[in-house]
Amino acid sequence: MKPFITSLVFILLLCSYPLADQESEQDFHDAINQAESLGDTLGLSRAWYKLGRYYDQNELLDESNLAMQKALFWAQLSEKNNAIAAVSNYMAANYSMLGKVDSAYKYYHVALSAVQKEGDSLKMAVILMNMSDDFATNAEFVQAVDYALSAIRIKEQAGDSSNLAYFYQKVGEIYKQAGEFDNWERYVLKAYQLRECVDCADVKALAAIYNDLGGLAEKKQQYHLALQYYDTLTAIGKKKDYPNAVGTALINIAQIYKLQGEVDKALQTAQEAITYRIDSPYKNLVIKSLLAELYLLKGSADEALVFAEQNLKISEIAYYPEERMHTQKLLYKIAKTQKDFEKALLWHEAYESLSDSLRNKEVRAQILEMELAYETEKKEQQIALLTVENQLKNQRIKIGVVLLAVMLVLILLIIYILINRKKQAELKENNLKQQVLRAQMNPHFIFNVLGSIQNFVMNNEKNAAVSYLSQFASLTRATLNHSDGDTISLADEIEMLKNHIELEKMRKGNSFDYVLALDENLETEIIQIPPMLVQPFVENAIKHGFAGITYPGFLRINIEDKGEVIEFLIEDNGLGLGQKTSKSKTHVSRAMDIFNKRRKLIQQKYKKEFKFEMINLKDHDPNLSGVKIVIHIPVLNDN
Amino acid sequence: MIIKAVVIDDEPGMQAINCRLLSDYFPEINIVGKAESVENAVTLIKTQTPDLVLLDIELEDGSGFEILQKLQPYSFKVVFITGFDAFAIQAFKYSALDYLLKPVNQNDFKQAIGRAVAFIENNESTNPQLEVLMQVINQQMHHKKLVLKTSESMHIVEIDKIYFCKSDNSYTTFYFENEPKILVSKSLKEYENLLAHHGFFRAHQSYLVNLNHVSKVDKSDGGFLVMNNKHEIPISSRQMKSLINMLEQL
Repeated sequence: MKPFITSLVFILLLCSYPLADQESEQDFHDAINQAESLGDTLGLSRAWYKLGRYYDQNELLDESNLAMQKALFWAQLSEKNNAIAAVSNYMAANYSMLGKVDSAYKYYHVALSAVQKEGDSLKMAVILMNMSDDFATNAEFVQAVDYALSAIRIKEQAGDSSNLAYFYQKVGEIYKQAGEFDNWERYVLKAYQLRECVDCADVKALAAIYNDLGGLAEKKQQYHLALQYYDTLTAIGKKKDYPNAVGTALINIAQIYKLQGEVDKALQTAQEAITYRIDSPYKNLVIKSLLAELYLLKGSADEALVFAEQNLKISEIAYYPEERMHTQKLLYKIAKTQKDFEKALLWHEAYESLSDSLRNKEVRAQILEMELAYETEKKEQQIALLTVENQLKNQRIKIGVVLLAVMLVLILLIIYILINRKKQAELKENNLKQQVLRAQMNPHFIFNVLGSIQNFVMNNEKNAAVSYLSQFASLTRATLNHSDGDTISLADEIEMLKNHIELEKMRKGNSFDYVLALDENLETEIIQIPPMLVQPFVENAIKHGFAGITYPGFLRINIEDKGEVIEFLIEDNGLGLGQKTSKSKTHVSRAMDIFNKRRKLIQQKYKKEFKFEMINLKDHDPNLSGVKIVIHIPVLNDN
Repeated sequence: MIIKAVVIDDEPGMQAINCRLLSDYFPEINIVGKAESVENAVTLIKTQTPDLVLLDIELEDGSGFEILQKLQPYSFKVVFITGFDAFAIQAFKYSALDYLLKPVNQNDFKQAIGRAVAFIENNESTNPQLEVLMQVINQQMHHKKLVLKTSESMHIVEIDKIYFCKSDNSYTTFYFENEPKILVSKSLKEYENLLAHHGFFRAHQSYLVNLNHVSKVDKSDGGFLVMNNKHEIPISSRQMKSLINMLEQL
């Protein structure tokens, strides 16, 4: 059997009217009648309250509650919140004594809302504490601690230290009930530290503290120390005329003696304990069980039977099945000792059946406990989670801000780069346009043409000179017209090519001929292409392809519509690529360079690929010579 | 009859060439003076009252057009000469006026002066053409007229009334809603850039279409445009996309 430590249970009251010992029930009724005749509702409430308290002190709890109900009625009628709070708090305490949790809870709330209306925080603390006590009794420890700590917070905030020790002790007791002994000890010690402070601990609180200290020592099996604490408790109880404390202390001492096998000492102490008036019905049960047990141990079954049967007569035993079972077991043992086997069997069966149902209850309690543990854990996890979440949230905000800043910088950077790139692309394009113009109308070409004209003039070839001049003017005009446009119609491009070739032909004294072939259905005036991409290759073919040949040169240009592109095929019958001088290579590479730059730009701008191919004809057929160039120029009509 | 002519050019060489060509090919023309600036030209023309003016557009102190504006109204025939003035050339094209490009090509010169002489001898008026020219030059962007010269006559048509132009080698035929078509001995290309500002679209190698008179785009059979007068015009597949874009913007 586990050692149990009985605790001191008492309820905090919100007000105390002087209660004269000599007053009898009739006096209270007289007071009620008098108030009634005066129509004094508050007086009525007060009178009923006093009667209720009188009943309570005479352990007539039901009658007490009936009186209190009347008191509450009159208090509510008089709209005195203080009175309502005091009465309902008292009622709740009564109900809680009776184990009627729901009613207790209900009246505590009535009390609570009444004091809230008054704005009396200290009374609120008291009620919260009482509620906490109730929760603890019903093993709802999380709420119990919650309410108790709220109560303490209210008191601390209000700077009210009155009976603060009691509050601490109470929290400790909740922990004790919850089985968290470390916390129990922590709060009891907190309370204990306040024992010297005036006001902080009334006699009841002090008693409870010593009782707890004793209990803690017992828990640690420091029985000697426990006995010392209980002795102190006894002394305090006797000194302050608090029989409850003395009784409780003596019960606890007796139990320790019993544990230590000192039956005589235990019995002696228990016999002393029972002489003190003990308010708690539970402790009345405990002391009687203890006495019965001790007598039984001493072999005096008859004495034992007296106490055991007394226990059964206490109505509250219904609320304490554990004690009832214990008593039944004692009765069974007593009957067995008395050889009254029929009775013994009866008690045994009663014990067994109760034990069964209790075991169920125990199982349920265990489940509840487990649930409680789970709830507590869950709550803790939630708190932990919340903290983590908060941290995460903060972190996320920080990260978000940083990311946003980084993104902003990046966007600005990208915009800057894009603008820059666009500017550069434009610059490049303009540069290239100039380069194209220069390639087309390169100074070398211009002065050569002018030289040729001079030659015609000097030879008096008037018509040739004028005709040559017109060609040159026409090409110059066309070049200027088209060099800054993005596109040119195929017709114009062909016109310029022809013009160019004609000029070259005149300059070269008709040493070569050419053919420009295209299908008559080719939509030359519709098709738009990037301007002057082909001309440098034609120029190269004439200038370098035909350089050093002794036979008539021939240039073939085929233009074919390939849908997305126009294919230009430029073929000469010159000496081919192997015969190039270093000078001509430079020119070829220069022309190629401009071509490639333009190609890249056009591909970027219009997203159109185009092909360029240069074939040395000799590589394919040794009988042939010359260079064939194939260029696919993209059609830009859709752009 | 003796035709009096003046040559206005700020380049002495060009003045000389023009005079030389005039006297070489047109001995009946009497060159009564030369000028190199707007100011001198105006004085010269006022004093000499020539029948023919060879007028360069770019002068040292202004534009050849300024001279015409200062002398209005006038009755002489002008042959314009320009080196490289896209705007002026466009204006000449609108008004179907003869112009010469530098350096002057002898054949072009003979043709242009020959036509001018015929004009003068027939006492024909170029005033309607000059009117169109002035509208274009004065930046009246809403100028609505185009001069079409055929072998027999000169038509001043409202651009908006043209339905479409059809190319036939170097000839262009203009079609209208009801009026008879007009055949001009100029290539369609000449008009393409000119009329692009007036909602015309080169739908096909052979067709320039006024989109304002289009009633329907039929995408079957490679696509064709149906005009308000039910006339059908083929669309080059290459132009379909730009055509749709243009029509959406209308």
